[in-house]
Amino acid sequence: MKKTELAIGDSTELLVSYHSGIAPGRVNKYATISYEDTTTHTQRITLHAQVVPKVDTTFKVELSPSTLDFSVIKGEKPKEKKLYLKNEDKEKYNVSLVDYPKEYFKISLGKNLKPGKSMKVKVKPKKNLPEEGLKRSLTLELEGEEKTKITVPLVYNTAATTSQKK
Amino acid sequence: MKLKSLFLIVSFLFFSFSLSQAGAPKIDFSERVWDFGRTPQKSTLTHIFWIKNVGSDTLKGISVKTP
Repeated sequence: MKKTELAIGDSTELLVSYHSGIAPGRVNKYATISYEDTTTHTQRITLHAQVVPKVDTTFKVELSPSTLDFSVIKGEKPKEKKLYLKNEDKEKYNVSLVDYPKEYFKISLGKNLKPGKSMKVKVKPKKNLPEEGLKRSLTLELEGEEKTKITVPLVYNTAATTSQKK
Repeated sequence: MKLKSLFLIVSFLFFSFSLSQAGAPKIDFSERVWDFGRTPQKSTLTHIFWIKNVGSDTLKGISVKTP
């Protein structure tokens, strides 16, 4: 969080990290935000995720890879990566990007994913990725008969040598 | 007379309430719930919430706790 005090009308970002763990299934996590007035006030925010195996055969849109790793050896520039969506279903999906770290990445994708077809999502790192590394994520929403979100982790590290690159 | 007393009591209560609300900070969020949807195991996901002071005084001592 960038500020711990806000003037009237002012706002600040709160970056929340959520670790999905190993156990598959629906996982809910909470964060409590407190502030001081004449007493201490607290408010809660909630994060949900449906944790699935890395090779997920339960959903009819195949996603690969499940994580995008932009890590490089120190001195190298991180390169654009691609995410592929393949529609194994009989219905068409409208695809939209609902959340991503605008400060660090530029993303382009198509709008529709027809039955049997594939779509490419291009994720291009900007020049300001921090040297100390980064863990962020992007969230896509697929709208067919129902809406389904998919979140893809974005990882960036700089390593001194190839053996240290993860 | 009774009506006058009732009016005075209600006015006093309203005035007291207004005083207690004056100059108080109030927090508001861009959203209170975020759903990541389907995500792989052993991953770190992130989301930015925006916090805004929609009250009438400075919001101080903001802190965040996670279990």
